[in-house]
Amino acid sequence: MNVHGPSAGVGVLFNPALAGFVEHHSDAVDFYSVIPERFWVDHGRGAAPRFAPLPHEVGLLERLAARKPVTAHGIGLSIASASLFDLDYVAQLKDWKRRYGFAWVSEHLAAMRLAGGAGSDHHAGLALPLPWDEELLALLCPRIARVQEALGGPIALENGVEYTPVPHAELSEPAFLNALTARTGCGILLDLHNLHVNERNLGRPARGFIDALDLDTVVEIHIAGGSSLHGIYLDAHSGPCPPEVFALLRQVAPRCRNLRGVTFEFLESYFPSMGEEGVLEQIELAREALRPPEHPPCPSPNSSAHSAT
Amino acid sequence: MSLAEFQRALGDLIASPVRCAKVRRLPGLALAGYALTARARERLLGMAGDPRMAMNCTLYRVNRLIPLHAVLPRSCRLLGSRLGGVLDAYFAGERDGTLQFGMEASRFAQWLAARHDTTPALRDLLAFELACHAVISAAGEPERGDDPRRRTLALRHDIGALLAAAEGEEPPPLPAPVLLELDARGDALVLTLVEPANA
Ligand SMILES: [Fe+2]
Repeated sequence: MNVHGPSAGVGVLFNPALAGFVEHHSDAVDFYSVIPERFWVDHGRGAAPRFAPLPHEVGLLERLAARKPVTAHGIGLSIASASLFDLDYVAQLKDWKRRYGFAWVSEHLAAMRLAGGAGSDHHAGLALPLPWDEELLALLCPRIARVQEALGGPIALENGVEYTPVPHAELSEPAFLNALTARTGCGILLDLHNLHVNERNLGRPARGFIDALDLDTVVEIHIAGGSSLHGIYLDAHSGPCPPEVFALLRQVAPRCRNLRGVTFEFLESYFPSMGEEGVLEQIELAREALRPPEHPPCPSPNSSAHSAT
Repeated sequence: MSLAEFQRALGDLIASPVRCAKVRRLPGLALAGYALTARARERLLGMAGDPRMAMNCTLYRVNRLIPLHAVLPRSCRLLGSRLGGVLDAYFAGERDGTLQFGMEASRFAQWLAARHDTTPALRDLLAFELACHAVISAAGEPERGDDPRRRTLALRHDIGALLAAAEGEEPPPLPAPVLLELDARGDALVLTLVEPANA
């Protein structure tokens, strides 16, 4: 069930710089992805009331939800944090999913918060590298089951970026994700730029990851751009996608039979350099990458097992 | 519990290149405060010695700076070359960071205002930028008695001079404090000088 028919739609991750875009160019996208945390202030676990809606931002959400289907891309669950599992956050997500009819809900497969003293949480500042072990699978599976029960359907979890991998992992990352989706029925949000970042920094081939992943579990794909700092390539969401990301999209999308949407992500601080035209161009390039080639190449023996039928 | 302790230790490493160096130098001592399995300990040692760990430490710093700079850009500029040292002290003393911009900026401003070496000019600018953020964030809220879209500040400096001050330079104080009203009820933020505070 895709957002606009039998093939995957193309959308953009909403940020406030796109308020004018929503008014003038909503016809160019099939859906908007929104970060729900942008629409409320979270006073932290244990606070009462904990979540305070931001009226101006909620007004924006209502305007875009009136125009296009909306999907939710959460950043605050921190489902892989061993020291906390935030069910109040899940309840808030459930409430907003019901209110705005999110077409699907995704989250990061990440540990970003650590339980601190006196009930306060410490934000780790970035997603901690995860150990791809059975121990983490055992932590995640019952949590995902509870989240999905609350949301009334599967959640999609996003693969992340690693700058310093945890050594001696029991599983590769795609093998870990395959085990997670097989045991819980959750989906995968496949971020192609994150794969590109890991390929550039760690020498892990993106195509190898894709070939090892059960692509039937992929419900959404993220595309984005990045930039370099001190010789490291960052997932900076700093404007247009590099050509490698579109090449990956062309390769992987036809193999994802349950793909519902491709989402272009960028940070609002880069909007002035792109403008509405720049965003429209990225959307068009994504559409082009999704279009079946007029003369499809013969499938390689390696790819036939995953090919869409 | 071992995964939680591994993540706690890893979070501490990412927050501090100094701690990474200490783990490399004196692992027994530096990791003594965590209940780690042998594998978790070995992993942390490997990561602390990985040159790529520096990027995690840099990103931690950048990500904690972003909310502060977003809400308090002029205050950061007024600090000039002192900013790096101030951030080091803040990050070391206030580990419970949050990426909720308003909360993090307000906590930083309170912490900074309480320091003995924070000048009156910087205190005024911190109060002004926090108040701007608060009234603008409340801009879409309906009218009510205690209207969060309006706020009045008593300042000892001309706000125009403070906003125009070059990096690291501070304007002299006014002869007498003034009251400045911030009003975000309309399409744009309106600043009105009410009257001298002591009039
Ligand atoms: Fe992403």
